[in-house]
Amino acid sequence: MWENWAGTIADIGAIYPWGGTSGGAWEVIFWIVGLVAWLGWHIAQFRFENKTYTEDRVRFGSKEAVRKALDQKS
Amino acid sequence: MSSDIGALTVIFTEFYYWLTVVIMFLIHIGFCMYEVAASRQKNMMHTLMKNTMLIPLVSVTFFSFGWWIYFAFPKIPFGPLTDAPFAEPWSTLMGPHLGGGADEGAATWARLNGVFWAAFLLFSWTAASIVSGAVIERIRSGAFWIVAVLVGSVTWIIDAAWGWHSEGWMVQYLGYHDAYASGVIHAIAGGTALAVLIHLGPRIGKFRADGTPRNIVAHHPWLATIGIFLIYTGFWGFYVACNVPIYDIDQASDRTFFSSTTIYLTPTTLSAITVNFIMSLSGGLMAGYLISRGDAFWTYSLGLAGIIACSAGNDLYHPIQALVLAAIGAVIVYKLHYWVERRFKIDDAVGAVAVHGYAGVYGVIVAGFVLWGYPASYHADWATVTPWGQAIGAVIMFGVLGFLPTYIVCAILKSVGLLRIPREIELIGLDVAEYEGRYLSEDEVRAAEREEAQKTGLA
Repeated sequence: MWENWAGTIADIGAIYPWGGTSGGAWEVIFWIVGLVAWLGWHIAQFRFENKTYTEDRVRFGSKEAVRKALDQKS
Repeated sequence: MSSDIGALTVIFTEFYYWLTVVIMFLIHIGFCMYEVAASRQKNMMHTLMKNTMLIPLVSVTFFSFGWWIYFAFPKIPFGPLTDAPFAEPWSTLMGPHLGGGADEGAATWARLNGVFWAAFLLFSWTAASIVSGAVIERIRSGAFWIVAVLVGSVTWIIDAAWGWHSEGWMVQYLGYHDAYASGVIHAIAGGTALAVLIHLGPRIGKFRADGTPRNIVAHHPWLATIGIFLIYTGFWGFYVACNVPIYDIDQASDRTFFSSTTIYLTPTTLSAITVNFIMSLSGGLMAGYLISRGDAFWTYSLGLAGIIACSAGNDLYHPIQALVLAAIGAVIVYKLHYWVERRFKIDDAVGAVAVHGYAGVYGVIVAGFVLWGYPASYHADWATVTPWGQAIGAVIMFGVLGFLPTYIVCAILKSVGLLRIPREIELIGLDVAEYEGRYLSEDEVRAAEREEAQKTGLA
């Protein structure tokens, strides 16, 4: 964390919170958080998508519902 | 950053790439508009979300590994990984950084890493977005987003490391030259789209029993054309982002000569690519109008194809060469689109495989003939441009990195039932949430309106 920018500004490197400290451990943690967010999102999305289609097929998959949809202009 | 001119050069370059990012954002808006317009009304919102959500997914993966691939893979598989500490996702230079401290190359990369990353990311979105249009109205969003990450953060950036990096092995051994990404973005995206389409199959009703295709008309042709207009606009930023704005191109001698360069650090000018962009667009539009007999959808699309057909060599072509090559390319891809549709029953809803894939392949190969013997890079002893080098390059872009990996991934997704939406949903429409309102409550709402009108004496 930076409390002021006084001193030799040309010597300043990373300026985000915890940047460049602990031998780069924070940056590795940030990277892992990004990867987990990405993969977790895909897993959650696939689950939600499967569940939604299963429910929609039960709800709207009858012959009557499909016929009604096809009778309308799409 | 301690001298005026040094700081100005770096900060100008930083601003230059930032500006390209903003302009290129219009490509994505254009793709969204175009795709939504091309879909039927019952699928609009699903189509929009499918394209929109590739933005965060490709962004987080491009941060996590895509950017590093570009700098680390230029010699793979013929040499070792290249050391690229500034592009590692855990590098301090991937975050806000003032350029001081012990980080290697920090003075320059602290200012340029983020805007370079973002410019390349916008190319990634474009690659994924090209695929998105082809597969509308029947692909599962989850499956598409897997493909989007594959092409946006893995395959295209590998091809960029090989054939679009000034030290890439394709440049070195094949003399591969593709200044504005005919192959690097468009051919690979086209190959990817084709691989998805083969597994996905056509939309219900696309082909008659005798195998002839029906035309599934865009629900909003006017919006589609505005979408392509926006893609044209964003394409300016794309071209400019492929250049380096200020670079000493005479470093081999004792002299100094600053110029714009291509991504290969070979000389060109902004003027050159501006004129050639317009002339190749013009060639595509002129030929597109004639070959499609004034069809707006195809005229616009073939304008885009004209640009793509010349992009490999638009750093060097004469404007009239660009015009003619674009026109020829537009006619070829139009004919090829319908031939493939009829022959192989491929339902490419927006012609993306043709406009991007075939035009990209054509653009790469034709540059091999027109620029035969030109230096492909700034290295004096590396291979020069040849037809065979470009042809092999086109096969790598469209086939090896575009088609093949996606074909395998889609085969897996299909085998576990995750590629295509259920048939009932396809028939009803993907915007199922609107089903009740649109189909079931409509009569009720209409009756209520009639009652209100009668009550108030309006009917």
